[in-house]
Amino acid sequence: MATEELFVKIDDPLTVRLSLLEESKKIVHALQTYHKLISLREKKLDLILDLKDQIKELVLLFSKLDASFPDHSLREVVKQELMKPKVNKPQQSTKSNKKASKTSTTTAKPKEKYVESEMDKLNRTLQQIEDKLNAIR
Amino acid sequence: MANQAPVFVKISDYKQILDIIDVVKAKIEESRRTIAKINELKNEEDQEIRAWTQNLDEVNKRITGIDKTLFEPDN
Repeated sequence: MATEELFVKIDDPLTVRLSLLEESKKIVHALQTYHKLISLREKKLDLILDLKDQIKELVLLFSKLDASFPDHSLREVVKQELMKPKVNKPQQSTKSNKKASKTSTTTAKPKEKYVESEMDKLNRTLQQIEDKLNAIR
Repeated sequence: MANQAPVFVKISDYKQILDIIDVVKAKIEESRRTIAKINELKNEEDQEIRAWTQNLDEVNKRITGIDKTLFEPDN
C-alpha cells in the first residue's frame, strides 16, 4: 500500500525564502562578531598583561623610594634591641652539630613544598606596608 | 604617634629620590594610557555585544514570522 504524501501550501514563498536568506546572512554576521570579540579580548589581555608589568615596576620603584628614605623607626628598633635580654646562642661542637643534623634528618617528616602564589605575595607586601604605616602613625 | 624629629636625607640619596619620582611619574602616565586603551577596547567589546544581541533579536523576530507563515496558513 503506497503511503499518501501530503503537502502544505506556502503563501508567498519568495518572501519566506528571502527572509531565510537574510537571516542566514545575519547569523553569519553574528559569527563574524564572535571572531571580532575574540580578537578584541586577546588585545585586551595583552594590554592587561602590559599593565601588570607596569604596576610591578611601580611597586619596585616604590620599594626603592622607601629604601632611599631613612628608617624612621630605627631608634625604636635600637631601643627595643637594647631592652631585649641577651640570649646565648648555643654554640655546640661540630660533632654535636653533625649528630643533631643526623637525628633531624632521620626524624623530621618530609616538608611539603608550599608554593607561594602571586596573590599571597601581594598580601604579604600589603601587610608589610600596613605594618610600616601603623608604626609611623 | 610618630616622632616629629626632623629627618635629613643625604644629597646623593635626595637626587636619586628625585630621579625615581620622575620615573614613577612616567610609569604612572604609561599605565594611565594602557588603562585608557583597555577601556576603549572594553567599550568596543560592549558595543559588539549590544549589536550581537540586537542582531539575534531581529533574527528571532523574523523566524517567528516565518514560523507563523508556515504553520498557521491563512487558508
